[in-house]
Amino acid sequence: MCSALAACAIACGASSSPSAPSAPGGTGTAAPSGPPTITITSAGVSPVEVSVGVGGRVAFVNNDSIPHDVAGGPEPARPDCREIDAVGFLTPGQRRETQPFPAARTCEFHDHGFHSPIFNGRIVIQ
Amino acid sequence: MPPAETGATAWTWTVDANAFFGFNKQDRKFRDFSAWESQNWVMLSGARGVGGGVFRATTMLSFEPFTIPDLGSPQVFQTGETFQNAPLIDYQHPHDLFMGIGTDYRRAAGRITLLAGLDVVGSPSFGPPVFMHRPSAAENPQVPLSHHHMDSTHITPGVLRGGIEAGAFRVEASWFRGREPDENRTDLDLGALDSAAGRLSWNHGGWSAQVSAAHLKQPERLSPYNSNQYSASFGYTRGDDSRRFAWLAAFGQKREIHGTFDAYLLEATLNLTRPDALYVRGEIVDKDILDAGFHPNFVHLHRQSRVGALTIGYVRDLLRTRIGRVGAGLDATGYIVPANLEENYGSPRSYHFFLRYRAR
Repeated sequence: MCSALAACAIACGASSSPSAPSAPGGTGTAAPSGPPTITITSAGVSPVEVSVGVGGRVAFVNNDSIPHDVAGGPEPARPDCREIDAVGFLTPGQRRETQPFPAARTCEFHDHGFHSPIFNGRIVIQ
Repeated sequence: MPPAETGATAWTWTVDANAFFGFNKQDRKFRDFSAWESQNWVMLSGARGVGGGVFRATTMLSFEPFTIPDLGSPQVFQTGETFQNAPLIDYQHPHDLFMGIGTDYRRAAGRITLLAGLDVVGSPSFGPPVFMHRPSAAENPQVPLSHHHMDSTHITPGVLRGGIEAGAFRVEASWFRGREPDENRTDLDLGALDSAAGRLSWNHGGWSAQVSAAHLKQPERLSPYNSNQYSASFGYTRGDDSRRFAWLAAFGQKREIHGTFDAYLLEATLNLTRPDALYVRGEIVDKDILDAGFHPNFVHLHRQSRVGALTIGYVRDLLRTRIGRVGAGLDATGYIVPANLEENYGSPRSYHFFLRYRAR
């Protein structure tokens, strides 16, 4: 049995549907056909900053293989920009938009369940 | 009766092992998940008579750190432990390489029997038998969703146990390290014995029951809070691995700073004929999937989601040899999704197709 398990150690242990890592960073702007989109993968959020007009929304897509929980503010203890809380818990493959941003300012967001800075970002409302 | 039970000083050795290898398919609302994986364990136990009693040494290994991805086995609504310092959601973590390394001693004293044990890695006196050793769950490759409410302390680094057995009753207490295993699945996570558990159990014929309670110091790696846990179970087992009917009904409760979480389990295995077995497991479990993360300097009650799951499976033995049995099986699981998770999960389903090896 041990040899069978050793062979399995090589053959199995593979899981499908992993997210393809993508490099976080850069600045995005609104796509002509919809709200700007921030993609979440195991490598973090991309882009880390987007710009949107007053009254606009931002979409988040979870392309990671685990759930993420998007919330407004730089960290859980400092909630802010509650329009972002509308995104909330996203299972893999799920997409959801923020509420419209009512005023010009800069909003930060974080992952409420995964406290790594690679899941922090910024939305500039102009 | 094993020779050691009669006071013989020669060692009596026992080997047991179980391995599933198969395909795990999880149908989900936004993205399906699948994996080829193997859940497995092997146990070696030696016993001999010492000082009028029986001394036993046991070791149990799992190769899951090499046969299941580091992230874990995809399993919708499963939670517990961490991956890259984030709480695992929808994955069952691989078990540690060293699942058990320990010794115990039992000696009759009049009408009672005294029990003592010391484990480098072991299981404190809490909960029903761990799922992988339960006859009612023996054919099921899936870990119960209620695992972390009832029997997740089965791999505890550092356990000191003591107890008394009188007739059908047993009273046990244990001191142990309450922290769950870390993400390094091949090391020993030793530390101070800072937690305690007690259990009263009853065994008569094929019937068994237990009530138990535990105080765990900071069981979650990411959270600095303690947990009190309670468990009760009642079950029945008739027959052996060839022909068996076994069922277990169990309740588990976790009381934490983030709330109180209950779990109910009913599972059974029925051998219809000698090579054919049906198994079923139904669970209702409170999960804090929507607030699973630990937030430093920010304590709040977690939103709860009461999920349900029903698994029905079938296994048929294809090959019987002196060193064990090989069978093939499949199962399907449907879920009851609470309203606060419907948008995220829809109506998920899970399937397993597997080969199963059992040494005994």
